[in-house]
Parts: sequence; C-alpha cells; structure tokens
Amino acid sequence: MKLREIFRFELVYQARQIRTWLYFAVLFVAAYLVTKNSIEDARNGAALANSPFSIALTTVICSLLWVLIGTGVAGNAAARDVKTRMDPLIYTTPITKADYLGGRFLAALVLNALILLAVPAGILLALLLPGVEPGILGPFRPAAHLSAYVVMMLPTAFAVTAIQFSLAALNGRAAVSYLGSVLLLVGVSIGAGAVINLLQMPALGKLLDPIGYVTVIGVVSKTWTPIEKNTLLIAMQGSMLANRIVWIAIGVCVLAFTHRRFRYAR
Amino acid sequence: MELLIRGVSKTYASGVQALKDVTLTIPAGMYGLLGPNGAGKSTLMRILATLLEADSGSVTFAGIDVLTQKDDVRKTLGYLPQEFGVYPKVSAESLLAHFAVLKGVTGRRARNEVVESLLRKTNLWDVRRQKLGGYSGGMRQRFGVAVALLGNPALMIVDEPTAGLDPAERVRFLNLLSELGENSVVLLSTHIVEDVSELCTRMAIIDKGEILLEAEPQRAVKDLQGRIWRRVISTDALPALEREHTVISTKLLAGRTVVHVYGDASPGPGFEPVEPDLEDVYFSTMTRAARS
Repeated sequence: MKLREIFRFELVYQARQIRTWLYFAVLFVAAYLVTKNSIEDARNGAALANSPFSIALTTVICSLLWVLIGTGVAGNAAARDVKTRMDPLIYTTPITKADYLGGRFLAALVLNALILLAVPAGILLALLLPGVEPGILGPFRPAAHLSAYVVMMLPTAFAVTAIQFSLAALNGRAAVSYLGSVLLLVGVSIGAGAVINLLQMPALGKLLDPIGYVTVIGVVSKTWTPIEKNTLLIAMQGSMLANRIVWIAIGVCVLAFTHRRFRYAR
Repeated sequence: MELLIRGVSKTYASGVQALKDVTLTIPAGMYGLLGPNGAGKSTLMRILATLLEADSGSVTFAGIDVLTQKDDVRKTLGYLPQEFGVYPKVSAESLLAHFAVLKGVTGRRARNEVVESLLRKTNLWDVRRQKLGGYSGGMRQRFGVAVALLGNPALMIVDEPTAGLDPAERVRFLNLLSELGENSVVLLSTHIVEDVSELCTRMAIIDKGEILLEAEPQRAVKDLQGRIWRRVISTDALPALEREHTVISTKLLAGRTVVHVYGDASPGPGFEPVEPDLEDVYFSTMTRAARS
C-alpha cells in the first residue's frame, strides 16, 4: 500500500514536470533525425531504411543519448528529498526502506521506459512521413520495432536506472548519478573496446556493454551481410541474451546493495 | 507514558561534543527544553526523532527502545524539524494526503477528513491548492505542523518552532501545540523563554550539551523569590557592578541599563527587590553554570 502510494506520487510528480517531457522530446527528435540518416544511407545502397538492423542502430544511438540526458529521472526520484530538505519529514514516517526505495525506483523505471518510447515513435514518424520511396523500404515488421524496445532498451533501462538511482540515493545528490552515467559510458566503451581489440576476447567485450552498442555497431554492422541486416531480428538469444542477463543481474545486485546500505538516520 | 532519556552522549565526527551524559524524564504534557543556540538542543531532538545515532546512553518511550526500534517509534512520532523544505511543485493538499498515507492513514475517506481538518487547523485551507513553492516561511512552518500532527502522535518532537514566526502566527501555533499536549508527550525546544513560560508544565535548561536544570517553571520561579534584585544604572557603570555582584542579566531601557542581580540578601543601596520570572530562572542558571 505504501509502496504503491510512493510509486504513484513520484510518477505523477515527475510526469507534471516539463523536464520529463523535454527528455521525451529530445529522444523523439534524435530518433527521427537518425532514421532520416538511415533513409539517406538506404538510398546509397546500405541496409533498408526500416530493416531490423537500421532500427537497432537508431535504438542504440538513442539509448546512448538517453543514458546521458535522462539521468535526472532516477537522480531526482532518489535524491529530491535531500535536495529539497524534506528528508527529515519523510524519514520520520513509518515506511520501510523497501517501500521507500522500491516505490521511487519503480517510478523512475516506468518513467524512463515511457520516455524511451519516444525512440520507436520517432523512428516510425520518419518512416511514415511522405517522401520515403518504396524501393528503400522492406515490409513493415512490428517485431523489429518491438524487439528493439523490449530486447535492447528495457533491460538497458533497468540496469542503468538502477545504477543512477543507487548513486543518487547513497550520496544524497542527483549530480552524482550524472557523473556515474558519464563514467559508465566512457569506462565501459573503453573497457569493452580494449577487451575486444587488445585482448581479442569479443565475447567478453559484448558482455561488458550495457546498451548493446558494441554488439550492434562493433559486430553486427561489420559482420552481417546486407541480406542478414535486412531480415534478421536482433533477438533475445546468444550473446545478446547473455549480455541482457548480465546487466539485469548487475542492476539487481546494485539495488540490493543500496537497500542494505541506505540509512534514514545519519 | 513517559520519555526516559538516560545518559545520552553524542560527539560529532568534527570532534564537537554536542551532548554530555544527558538524562531527562519527560512525562505526558508540554515539556520545554530551553537553551541558547548551539546548546545541543537540535542534536538531542534529532536523536529522539530517529534521525541521528547516539554514541551512548538509552532512550525509551512507552516500552519502545527509541535508539534501536526506530520503526516502532516512527509509528507514534510527530516531528517538526528546526529546518526543513518541501517539494516546490505540488499543492499542500496533495502532499499532506501523501504524508497521511505514509503515516498509515490509508482509507480514502479517513484521509480526506484528516487532511481537511489539519489544513483548517493550521489555517491553510484557503491556500490548499497553491503550490508549496509559493508559500511564505510561516505558511511552510504551518504545513510542517500539519504533517507532524498527522496520525495523532503520542510523541511529539518540536524543534525551535517559533523562531521564524510573526507574533500572531506564534500564538496560533502555541495554541495548536497545547491542544495536543493534553494526552501526548510533547517536547519543545526553544531559545525563547516566553515559549516555555506560556506553555510548559515542566522544563529543562541545556547549555554546551549539559542539562543544567530540570524543573517545573512555576516552582523554579517561586524558588527565586526574594533573591533577584534590580537596579537601573548607566551603561559605563556595568563593569564595576559585575565585579562585585552576580549580574544575571542586563537590559536596555530608554538608554539606561537595567541589571538583575542574584543574591540571598540585598546587594546594597540602589537595589530594589523584584518579582522573579522565568527569564530570571534561565539567566541565573546560565550564570551559575558559567561561574562554576
């Protein structure tokens, strides 16, 4: 009951803030523009504009952008009480840490999942607006859009929101999650690149990448044939499945650690 | 129903010892904790409100160990911190309803009733739909009172509540509190003597982390009967007077200085006996502690 109320209140509070809609708008425009670029590439003989590969490419680029700009959602859900100095009022009510942290985290996750819907929306708009000649489009495949969202973005949203949320909750400052997001992207992309190229361990490299960027841009774009790019779905299997399991597990561990370490009393 | 504080000490990481072996017995009713700024009042209040860990000692309330059973304390606790903020972009009504659920008022009907009655009591009903970001300091303080009163707390911790209020707001606030004091333990910290004299049936004086006096205000005033002497002097005569007598307080009156001196017998010509009040209790206690 209390978890539900904390969840509801947080969701409504952030949904009423302009900032939340700004994140959505930025991702929507970005997805639209990247898809426009794919359309141009398709005209020049690359994969079809609405191929699973093109959709996945747009998705990872936009996910990357989301990790950086969308941090505020989780950061605010975790640290607004301290920032507004309402923490002495909240922390003296009889709510368990599980209800408090759980309600706030779930609200941030749902908000981020909704914000990320801007990506398929932007892609679809770019593909559906007039001016895209039939020759560069394959058949419309809802599964391609769905798998980009469910396989790539949702697990990413879970893991990254968990990390951003925990950093802010344990430090009492939303700014720490911005820093964490930047470090996560920089550290992981350098780390994954080094593992793949220097250690020659591509399987491990793909696991290290929280948003599927390495898989799609580093592997699929170089090794798949044009026909494969146009037809194969990036499905929840093989290395992608392993990667998603690893990052969901990391997210769960981070949340458990936060629940353990978080204290109302200082 | 008593709040028993036994030997509580607290030293901050900075090395400042904020509380030294504090022991107090606080019965139901209004209890005043009086002391200057920096005396350790807020530290004690934050420990009692489960927000700060004590280094040693014990605190029990109605059979609950306050230092370890924090969840149980929070079920019966109302806490008004000295400093707090609120979410700026939400109305008083919806934030208070949110707090009501967190405090366990879960039925919609009961919640609406308690929210309405508290908003009326704190005189915020007419502005209930305004965003809290637009509230004045006094309005925000009253909102904090409404939050603290939710769920009829048996233990009410109120930290320097009147500091930022104008005189009319202060009276309204003290009335609200005295209503609650009838069947709860209400601990009020303040540096304003009038807050205690107007409200409290028992009090303690704290300075530099130590309890200097635990008393009933009226009895403490009575005990000073015949021991407080007043004299009006020019300001430059004060240092000489301070060397000879136990000056407990000085006040300016139309450019001259009124001194109160503590003494079992008349300190000499020019002094007249005065009817002591709680301020004399406070200042004589502080002066004696400073000298010993």
